[in-house]
Amino acid sequence: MEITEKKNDKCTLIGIDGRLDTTNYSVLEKKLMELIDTGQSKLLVNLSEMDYVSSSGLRILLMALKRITVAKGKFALCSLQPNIKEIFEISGFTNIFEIYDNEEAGLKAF
Amino acid sequence: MARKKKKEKKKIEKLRLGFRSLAFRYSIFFSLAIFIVFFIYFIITLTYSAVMVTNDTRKDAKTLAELTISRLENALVRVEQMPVVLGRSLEKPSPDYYEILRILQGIVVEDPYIYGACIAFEPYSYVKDSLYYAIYSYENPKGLRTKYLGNYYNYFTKDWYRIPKETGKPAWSEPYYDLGAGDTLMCTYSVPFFNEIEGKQVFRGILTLDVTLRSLGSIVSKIKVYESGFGFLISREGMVLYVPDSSFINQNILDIAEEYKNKRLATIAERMMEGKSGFASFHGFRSRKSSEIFYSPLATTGWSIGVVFPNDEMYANLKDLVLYLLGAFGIIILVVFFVTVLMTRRLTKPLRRLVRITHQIGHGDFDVEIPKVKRRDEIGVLAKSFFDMRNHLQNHIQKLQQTTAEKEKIESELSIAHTIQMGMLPREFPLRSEFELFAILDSARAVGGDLYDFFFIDQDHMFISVGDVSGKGVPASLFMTVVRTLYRSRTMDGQPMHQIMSHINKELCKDNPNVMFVTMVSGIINLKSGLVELCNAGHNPPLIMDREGEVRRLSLFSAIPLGIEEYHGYKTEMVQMNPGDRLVLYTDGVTEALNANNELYSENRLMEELKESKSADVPTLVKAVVDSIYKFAKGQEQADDITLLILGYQKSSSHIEAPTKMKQLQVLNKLEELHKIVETMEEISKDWNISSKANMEINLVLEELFTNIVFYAFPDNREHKIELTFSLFASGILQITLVDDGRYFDLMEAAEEVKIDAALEERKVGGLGIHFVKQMVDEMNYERKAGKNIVTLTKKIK
Repeated sequence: MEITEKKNDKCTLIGIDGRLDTTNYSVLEKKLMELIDTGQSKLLVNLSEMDYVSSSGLRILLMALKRITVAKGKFALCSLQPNIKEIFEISGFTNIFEIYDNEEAGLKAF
Repeated sequence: MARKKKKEKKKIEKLRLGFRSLAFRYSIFFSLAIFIVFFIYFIITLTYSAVMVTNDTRKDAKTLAELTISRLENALVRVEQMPVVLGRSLEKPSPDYYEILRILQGIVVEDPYIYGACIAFEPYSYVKDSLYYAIYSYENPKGLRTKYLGNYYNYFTKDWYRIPKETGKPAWSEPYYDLGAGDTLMCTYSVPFFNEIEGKQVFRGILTLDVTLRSLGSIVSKIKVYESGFGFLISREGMVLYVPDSSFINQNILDIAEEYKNKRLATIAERMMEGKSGFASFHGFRSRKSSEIFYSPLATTGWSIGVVFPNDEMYANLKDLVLYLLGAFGIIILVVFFVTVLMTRRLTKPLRRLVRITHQIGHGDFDVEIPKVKRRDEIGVLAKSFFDMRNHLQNHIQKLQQTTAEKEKIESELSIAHTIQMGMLPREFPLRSEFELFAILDSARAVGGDLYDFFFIDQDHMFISVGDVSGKGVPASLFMTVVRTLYRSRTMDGQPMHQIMSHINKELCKDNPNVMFVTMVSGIINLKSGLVELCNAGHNPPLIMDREGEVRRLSLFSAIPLGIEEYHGYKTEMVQMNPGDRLVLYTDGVTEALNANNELYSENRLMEELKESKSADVPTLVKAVVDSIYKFAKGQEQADDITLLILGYQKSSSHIEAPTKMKQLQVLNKLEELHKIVETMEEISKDWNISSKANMEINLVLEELFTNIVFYAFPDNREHKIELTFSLFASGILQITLVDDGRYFDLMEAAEEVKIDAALEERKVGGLGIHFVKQMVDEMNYERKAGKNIVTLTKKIK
């Protein structure tokens, strides 16, 4: 898994490339918590290149959402692959997360 | 080790007994003895010498005193004799003045002790008209002088005149200080003289002779005893007439004694005044020195002379004697001490060498050289017996080492045999849904005679066997190996049971000089149908317990044990097992286990015990029965091997059809191993045509299950294996089994319902995994078998 980070005037754009599972979720956890701790409470996560996510990965996304909500920021996801979207549906996450079809739509929301 | 030895050696060399050594103790002993002897000698010598010195000194003092007394007496007697010589001329009726003068001056000149002489007449007797008439001649430094005392000196009342006149006898006066006459301390000897008138002696007057005490004192002053010993003279009344310290002269000795609070001196003085003589001891009233005194009286005047000699001076010579003796004494003791030390060290030298050698022998050095001791005394004998002891010990230890080595060899051989024998027993019990199998063999000795065995002949047929070889130990073990090889090779040929047994029997009988034999029950079970072929060669009949716990004995035809009679016939019997039935094979070690009251465990008890645990799985059942045997025979030594094998049969419930495709994978309980599962799934998805969606879902489930096992199944933190089996059936069903030997953990029991509709605030961060699992597979089954967790997942993929 690879994580990319781009900053623009509205928010920080995070890209996740590859599998997000038990063996590597801590890398993402560290990254996101670092951003939140340094006061960046506006995050858009682009999941177009993420082809697998396990419950451990979902847990990190949920944690990030909870922390940013408390900090009165904004946390959104965009460009989910169909399989991934199905997992989000099964787990009920589609109800909790703000999910946009593409990055453009996501950026507009900020 | 080498260091330690060195240290010990050092310790031995450093063996110094010091004050506890024989040499030292003997020296002390002898020195002490000599010291005591010398001390006694010393005391006796000293005492004797002291007595001698005292006696000598006393004798000397007495002699001196007597000598002085006689000198004094001589002087006094001369004085006393003077009037006897001169008296005649005075007894004339009237001597003329010149004659008197001549007499007086003659006396004074002639006698050195006489200071002056006087003639005093009775009133009016010399000159008719003169009351007093006395003429006194005396010596002074300027020469001889004569005084006429007549007119002014009333002498009639003076003692020197009155007492001789009254007694009519001469008398010595007490010493007095005469200012009128000589201005010196003196004594006067008064003699009466008479005229014969008409035949009568008529008192005419007194002749006096004055003796100065200074002149008498010069006699006493000649007394010298040692350094400061001296003589003194006292009068009858206690007046000190002479003493070297002149300040005491003319004082009364009793007054002096009182002044110095010296009672002893007063006592002595009183005795002297009484005219007694003797020895006494007292302390000098000035020097406080302990002194001796000898005193004796003068017969003439009743005076007493004392000779004083201080004790320390008397014993001064004894001091030298003491020093001399002590010196000699010290030298002798030193010499004795060193001579004894040297002698004893010489005597005990072999002993000390023996001590060192004992140390070395004690530390296992038997090759140490024992020096020859040629002496014929006790030490020589000791050295000789020590030498013998060393040799005997050496032999003994050599023998002991040999025996121990041999014993160890045998024990190690036995232990190897035991390991080999135990290694022959299959330990891995198959995990199959159609049946359960478990067995325990507990040997009574290192190498026992029991065996059990099982193996698959093909997919559906399994061989099982329990046997007991006659005898024990290595031979039994070897015989057992032969038996095992025989049935293993024969069984694979597909022959019926009785033929296999007959074959083994023949082979065993062929070359069996020791007539060893084996009792055995063997069987082949068809796992599909539950049909068992059994053959019993002289062994305990097997038992069967049904689902309800009803136990019965299989009354098979029992042939004689294998290895006894070459052409004996054996018989195969068929037994149908129903699902839930358990076939129980055991050896006589089970039923013949004894308790403290010598009761047998017995077949009945075995049946009861089986019934008791009827609902347990097979491994638990076997363990429960074996435990009950231990409990029964508690405190008794196990006499025989205990072997129990149970086969539980149950018809497999599902998927009787064989899978079309199968893949197996083994991973370790480490998170990093997850990628292996992912890769295998990818491979299978490609080969078995599984959609990427299904692949992902299975991935999700496997990741959850795997993670769970890794985190929770193994509290021991050791490395464990997790087995995954992927099976694809023709019906389009994918079945995945995960087997781990971790602790009991049923995921479904532990799972908590996840509320997927909950709002963000209520959503929990955990628990999502189980939810995925439930959502993404069609069926999930958990079983606990033979200490393993078995999870079976079923998912329709086509």
